[in-house]
Amino acid sequence: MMTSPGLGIRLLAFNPARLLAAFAGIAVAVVIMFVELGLLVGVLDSQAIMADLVRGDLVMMSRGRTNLHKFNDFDRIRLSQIAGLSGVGEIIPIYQGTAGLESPEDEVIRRIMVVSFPAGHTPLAIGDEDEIARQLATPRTILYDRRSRPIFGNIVVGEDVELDGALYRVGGFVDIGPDIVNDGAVVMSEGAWLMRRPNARPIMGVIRLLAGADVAQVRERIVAALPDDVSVLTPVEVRDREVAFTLSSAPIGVLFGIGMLAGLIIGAITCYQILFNEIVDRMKQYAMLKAMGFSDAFLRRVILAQAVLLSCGGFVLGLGLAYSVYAYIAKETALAVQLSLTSGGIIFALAAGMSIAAGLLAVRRVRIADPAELY
Amino acid sequence: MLSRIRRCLFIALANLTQRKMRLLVALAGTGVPIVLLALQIASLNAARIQVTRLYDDFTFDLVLVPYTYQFLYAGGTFDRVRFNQAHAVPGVADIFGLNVDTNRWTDLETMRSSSLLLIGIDEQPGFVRDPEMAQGLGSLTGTRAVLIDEFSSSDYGKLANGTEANISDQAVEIAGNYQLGLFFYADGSAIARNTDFPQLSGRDPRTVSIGLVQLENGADAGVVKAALAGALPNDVRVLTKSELIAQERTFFLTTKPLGIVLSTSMWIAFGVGAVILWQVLSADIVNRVKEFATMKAMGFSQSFVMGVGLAQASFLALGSFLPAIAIAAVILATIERLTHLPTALTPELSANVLAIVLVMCMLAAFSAVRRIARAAPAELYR
Repeated sequence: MMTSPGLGIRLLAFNPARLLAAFAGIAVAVVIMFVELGLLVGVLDSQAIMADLVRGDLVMMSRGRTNLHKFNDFDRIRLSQIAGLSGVGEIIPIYQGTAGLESPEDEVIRRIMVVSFPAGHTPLAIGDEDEIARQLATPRTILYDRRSRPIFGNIVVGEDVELDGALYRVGGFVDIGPDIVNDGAVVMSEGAWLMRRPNARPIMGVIRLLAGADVAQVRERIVAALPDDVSVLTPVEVRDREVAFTLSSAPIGVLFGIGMLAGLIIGAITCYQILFNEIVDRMKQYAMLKAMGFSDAFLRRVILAQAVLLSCGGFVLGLGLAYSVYAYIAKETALAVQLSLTSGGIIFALAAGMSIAAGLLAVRRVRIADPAELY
Repeated sequence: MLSRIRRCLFIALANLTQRKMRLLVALAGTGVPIVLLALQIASLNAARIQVTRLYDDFTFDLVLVPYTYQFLYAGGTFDRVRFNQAHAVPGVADIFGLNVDTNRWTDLETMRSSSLLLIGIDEQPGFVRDPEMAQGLGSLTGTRAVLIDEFSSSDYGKLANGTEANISDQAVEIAGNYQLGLFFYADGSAIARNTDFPQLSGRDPRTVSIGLVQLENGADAGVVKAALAGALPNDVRVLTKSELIAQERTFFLTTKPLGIVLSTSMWIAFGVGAVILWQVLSADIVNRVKEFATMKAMGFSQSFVMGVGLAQASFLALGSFLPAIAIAAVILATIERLTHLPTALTPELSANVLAIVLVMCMLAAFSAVRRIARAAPAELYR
């Protein structure tokens, strides 16, 4: 005897063109969910990129710097004040500012972010530590972020570029990545930056603890030792705070947040719609099966098998399409738009859930279907 | 002929209203792509308006920009002496200097600093179109007085007149306000007179970012533009107002990540909307293929039966349009309230959405009614 999933699949496969249309319908629903969710996550990730890059246990920032796109700096002495506390290992200041980089191609000067820290210390996970230390120790050398948007022109290692009117040698590449405001970045040593901006103060201090020290305890000691013009957070806390800020306070977060909600709802409705049509249109066959003596439970299993098959097929197709869209957006914007297991899981659950719900609702119609009424 | 069309519409309507539940599901189905399209089109349109909003606040015909100019936020400067040279060109009535600089605003109460787009303007009220800005210009009297953008981030602190704050560590006092909301570029903006701008920005007072040119009555913009381009050295470029606005929007939509993201999602909404419409409409027609075939067997012409199919599709699109547009309008009004982006759904935008939806609907319906054309009455009772 035929199993219920087997029958469900054969019913679907009976008309391949129609099956393809149903797959396509669910696929577009999946694509719209992926795109809206992916854009939101991409924007959130890009805005919080600096927090992800921190290589340390704690981060010190000015209390006024409530998000990473503010430029409140703090007194360097705050870093020296905590150097002697037990448990504190290494403390590295990071400076951030902007400068005008002249494109070697069209000679247009464009704003680029400058990140700097003392040569020999690498507080950010942006490339090979020894190589960065070696390059930054060389005077007038900068490292160029290879993920910068292409607008800056073709930056070649070993050649000179003009930054705010002064020449620097490009020593190599690092990986940082742009966000919504910044188009790119260069890295230079603390000394080189202070030569440009003699009054610059650090915007972030990366604190590494001695082996075996407890993060919470050391943080308490640091906070107790300092006035309340600085805050001390773990990199994860900085990231979470940034995501919460973008989502709730930045207009961009609001725009994409609402877009994502709309996308998810629209996708879910579409899945429901397609499944419902698919089953209502086969009412005759189901009534016939009932007349032949198949139980309601069997029919329910047939329909659920169809829902699962349709949502799986549509999901795979949609995933492929979404992948191309992501690749296009990532290439054009250099934002961190990528497929993630979590967003894939959420979207699959929504697509499959709505399909199954539609299937179950349609099953009620099958239950009351009277074979005699068919003709 | 007319009665035939009327009959066609009547049958379509009767078909649709035969089963109320089914009609509702179909209406919901066609409504979804309409909401989606309206959201995307309005967001993209809002971004396009917003990026050139500052220019909309001024009255001018031509514009002088440095040859390095990309868009408002990244321009460069040129020597103000070019203004004097331009004045000598016949047809030029007046020139207005507009300065922009990226700066920092510090709220003295919380000591929070935020990014600031500092705008410097000449004191020529004839150029300022925005009434609030024009009124504010009159209250810029002291050397520390600035106008503040009401749509600046909440971290800017109190924005009432008389509030003191810092712009790059120099004390300023709020003397008035205006509404701009250029958050694509900075957390907020402030306007100072060009006599105070160099002090606040640290820029050479002899330089200027942008020159807005008004022409004498009757002067031809194209002719004067060519004359200006000939008279000035090539460190400045001359553009008409529409060229500037078009360039500004193109730059945002094709180069800035937000613009790329917004335009990509609009194209995706088009594709998705078309597929969903096709799904819903063809399901609705295919379900009645038997009835259509019977009509054909009764002697109704092919075009008449297909007309019924198309009419059904149009009714569905029109019927779901109002509720869908209403839902979209509520969502968009919420976005506007939260972000100050001009996302509100205007009648013009709604008309655009309706036109696009009707075209998509017709395409989808045409592909679906081909099934009717193929339907052979004899096959029905196999």
